[in-house]
Amino acid sequence: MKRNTIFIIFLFLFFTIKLHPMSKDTLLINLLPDNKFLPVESENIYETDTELYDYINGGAELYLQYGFEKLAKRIYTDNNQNEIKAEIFDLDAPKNAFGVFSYSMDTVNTDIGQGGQYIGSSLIFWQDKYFVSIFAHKENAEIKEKLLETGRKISNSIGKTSALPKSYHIIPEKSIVKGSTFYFHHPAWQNKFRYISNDNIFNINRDVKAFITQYGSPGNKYYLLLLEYPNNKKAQKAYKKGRKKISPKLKRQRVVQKEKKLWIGCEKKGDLLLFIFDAPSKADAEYLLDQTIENATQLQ
Amino acid sequence: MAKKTYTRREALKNMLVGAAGTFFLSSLPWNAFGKKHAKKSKVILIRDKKLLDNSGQINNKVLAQMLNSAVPELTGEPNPKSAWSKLIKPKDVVGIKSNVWSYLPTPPELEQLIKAHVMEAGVAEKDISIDDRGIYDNPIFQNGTALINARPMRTHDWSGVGSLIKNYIMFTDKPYNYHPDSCADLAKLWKKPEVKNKTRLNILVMITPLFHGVGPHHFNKQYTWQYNGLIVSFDPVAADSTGLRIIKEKRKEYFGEERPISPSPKHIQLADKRHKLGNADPKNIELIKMGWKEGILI
Repeated sequence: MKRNTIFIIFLFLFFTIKLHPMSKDTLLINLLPDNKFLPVESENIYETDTELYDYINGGAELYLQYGFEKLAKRIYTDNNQNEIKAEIFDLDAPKNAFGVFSYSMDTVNTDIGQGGQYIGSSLIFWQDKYFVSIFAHKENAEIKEKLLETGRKISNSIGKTSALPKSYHIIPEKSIVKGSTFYFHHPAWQNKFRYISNDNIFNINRDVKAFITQYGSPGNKYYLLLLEYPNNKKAQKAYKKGRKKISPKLKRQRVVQKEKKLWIGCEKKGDLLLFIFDAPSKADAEYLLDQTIENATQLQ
Repeated sequence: MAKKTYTRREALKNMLVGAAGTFFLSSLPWNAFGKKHAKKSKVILIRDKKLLDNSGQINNKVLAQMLNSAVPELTGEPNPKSAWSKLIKPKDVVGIKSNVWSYLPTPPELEQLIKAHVMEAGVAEKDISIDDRGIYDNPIFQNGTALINARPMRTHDWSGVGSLIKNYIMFTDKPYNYHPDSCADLAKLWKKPEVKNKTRLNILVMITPLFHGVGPHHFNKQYTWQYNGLIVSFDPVAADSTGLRIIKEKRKEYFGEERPISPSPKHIQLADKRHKLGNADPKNIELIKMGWKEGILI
């Protein structure tokens, strides 16, 4: 009798476990609106690199480089059978969410989240450690409003906002192209605004926080590359290497004139390294170097 | 050692055989033998204003005409039939490598046109396969004798652009092995035994190319335009290099300033300089432009 009972309990547990395999963590997907908002056509959670590779044909590497932890997706259909796809990426840290957003965007034109862009039936924004994309195949005023409403709901669900690394806050504001700062930690992206090099001349890796920002006006843009290294020694090594590759003259002068009468500059302070590209004048290059260093000093 | 002497008739015969052999070899695609650099690579850029109708659908008849003009021009043959017969032999087993990316796939109309030409060249239907994701397990692709490579060009989050060179990444079960340094060494794929020297034709589809991407799926219709073109070549590097020039020019036109593709699509340059797969430098490309010229960009 006792043996039979144990056997029955074993069978019960076996089938229960088989029928209800360990479900995926649903915390992330719960940040997306549910059926009360719009009918959910399908949903999925992607937790591994392989799952992400399978889902995003060819584009997964960007998210893996920016600390991919998890992706949740819901596809909705509205009354007119328009499909709206909402995806939320947990990227482990706010800097990563900002990094993916700043890689993808051309402009900041919505106030959703901590920075958002709506363009051609696609809304992207970042908030805290999350990057959010909401996409529809068709575009009209009604769909646009639905996308924005979805974005606001997700933003409210996330709730909190988070700060970016300290180096972001020392970037000078004067003459800046608003919302143009791009954060990265892989050399593949150092050419985003302007060709710098195909090689890793600044020893950029996951431990380095790199920001590139645009200044000036269309047709006359110049750039500040700001790199924060884990320590002074690594910054010094990158300083020597980068300076040599950009222009050996930078060994003797912090600002030099290059082709088309544009100016480049370079400066190091502690674990920070700065490069200026294409400044229209010596004064503009020097201002960016000086102001960044001054902002860093004030922040300490 | 006795010196062999030739009669005038024997000498003439030898000269004719030699000349005929040289002519035959030189008439084949240079990369069919894995030769690394022809002096110049011939690239055909063909466009037709009427390729897409008002709703953006492909006009099959126009597409067929474009292919029927481009392939003879490339091969130097007088008509499509002789051109395809030069490329494909009846005993060939042919894999047509397409691309199934849902937002911008190789047009099925083009796939079917290629297949029809291959069949017209005498290949049995059972010896032809059109595939993308499944090629690693597809016996026609693994053991075939010929490949035709056809895909649209688009910007890409990691390799800069999705190119003809990159289109063979499904020949490996570990695509991520080719990801380091933003896919710098994709041309290595072309040295794999199941690929090497088998590509008879490359078609870079430039009908509605994607010149910029946004979001996880890197697609937004706003960043495509109706270019209505095909780029056809024996040399995948030259075809990609030409397509890339068009994408770069379109970005300049759209953004109103130089906007580098990020990450840099350096795998195209490196396919030339490092891997000697073909010619990336426009100086080494004989570009033949056919058809519609308005908005050609290059």
